[in-house]
This record gives sequence, C-alpha cells and structure tokens, in this order.
Amino acid sequence: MWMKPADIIDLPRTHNNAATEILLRLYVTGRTESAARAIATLSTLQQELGAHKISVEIIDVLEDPIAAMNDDVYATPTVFRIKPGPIRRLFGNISSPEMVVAGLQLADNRD
Amino acid sequence: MKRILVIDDDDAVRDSFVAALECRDYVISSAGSGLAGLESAKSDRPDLVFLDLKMPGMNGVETLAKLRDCCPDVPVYIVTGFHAEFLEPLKELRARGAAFDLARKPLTLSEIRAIAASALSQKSEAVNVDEASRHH
Repeated sequence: MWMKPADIIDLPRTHNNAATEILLRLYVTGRTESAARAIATLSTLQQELGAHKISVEIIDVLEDPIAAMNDDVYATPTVFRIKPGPIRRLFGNISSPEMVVAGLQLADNRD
Repeated sequence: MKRILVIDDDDAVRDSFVAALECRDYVISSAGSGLAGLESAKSDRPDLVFLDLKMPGMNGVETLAKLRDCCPDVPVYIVTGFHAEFLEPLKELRARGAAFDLARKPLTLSEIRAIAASALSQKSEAVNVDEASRHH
C-alpha cells in the first residue's frame, strides 16, 4: 500500500540502554504495514515490561545494510533478542507481545 | 489457494522459488523480466510478489513502481544483496511513497518458505541464531 513519506520516515528513535535486562533489535524496511505492526507490538511489550527492563533498537535496513548483514538478517521485519544471550531471532508476523515473548523466550524475564 | 509471483531474470533463482513453494498449497507464477512480471500480475493478481532488483531492461525499481499502480496493496519482497549501492535507488522509490519489504539474496529454501508463510498466513519463525547459521 502507498504510504505517505512522513509515515515512512518517521520511525521512532532507537533506545539503547545498556543497563536494561532485555535488549531487542528490530530490523525493518521503513514503515510497511508489517513494520508498523512490529513496532507497535514491541512498543506495547515495552510498556508492559517497563522501559527500565527492556530496550528496543530499530534499524532500517535501507539506512544501515551493514548492520543487517552482520546480524544475518534475511528478510524484514526481523527482531533479535540481543540480551540476554544466546541471540534469538524472530521473523515474520510480529503482531502480539505474547508472540514476541514466546518466540524470543522472554518468559523468564517478564516478571 | 494463494498466488505467488516470482520476478527474476535468473532461471535458477526462479526455479529455486518454485522448488521451495510448489508443494505448499500455493499457485506459483514466474516471470523472467519486469515487463513479463507486470503482465502476469495484471492478468492474475498475486497475493505476494518476490521481485529481483537487478534485471536487464525494466529493473526492480521501475517494475515495483508500475506494480503499485495495478496492485497497490500486494506485499512485495524485493530480493537483493544488502549492499548500499544496490539499495540506494530504493530509498528514492520509498520517498515517493512505495512500500516494500526486503529479502537478502541468496535465500535458502526454508527462508523462502518462511517469508511466504509470514506474508500469506500471518506466521512467524523463531530460532536461536547459532542454530540458524548451521543450516546455511
């Protein structure tokens, strides 16, 4: 679907707080529907867990393809659990906090 | 059944997509050029498009721009190497309002299937990264 340039460019700023227990890294290609869905889902998860507990980096592959290659991203949207290790990857329809918790095995960190 | 259109000038690449997807309840159409891909999309509207970026004649950027005229809401994965020089033209296309996702070339058969499942069946795939690396 055609998106207004403002919708595409206006990605949330990345937040990288090394002190948080959980660090997620989301790769998107601008604000496609799937990207918007993933961003909204991770935002909800961050609200549920608290910004002191979970931080989310958002990287646009078009702007930083080297980061995408280094993390072995094969398609967007993909979210990685960077911390705690081991690194785990969730690709595809990122549409609910429960899916992210289950897919990235965050249950131990949710409480 | 969901319809997938693969547009790539490389026969082997098109064959790999067909091999990955043909047993998965999808109808697969393939086209060896941007022009042929557009004709295919106009006659049989796809539910998902895999589009090569670098093709002779009408390249992926031009093809996507025209594809959006006939199929504005179809999910499109542009398949390309993640190199800045390849991706630069896509920034301009995006600035003009075109939405698309990216997939890194080359894709494995399982990656192709995961993308199709995500786009068409709202599924997701989760793995430990070190396990994923062993399958490459």
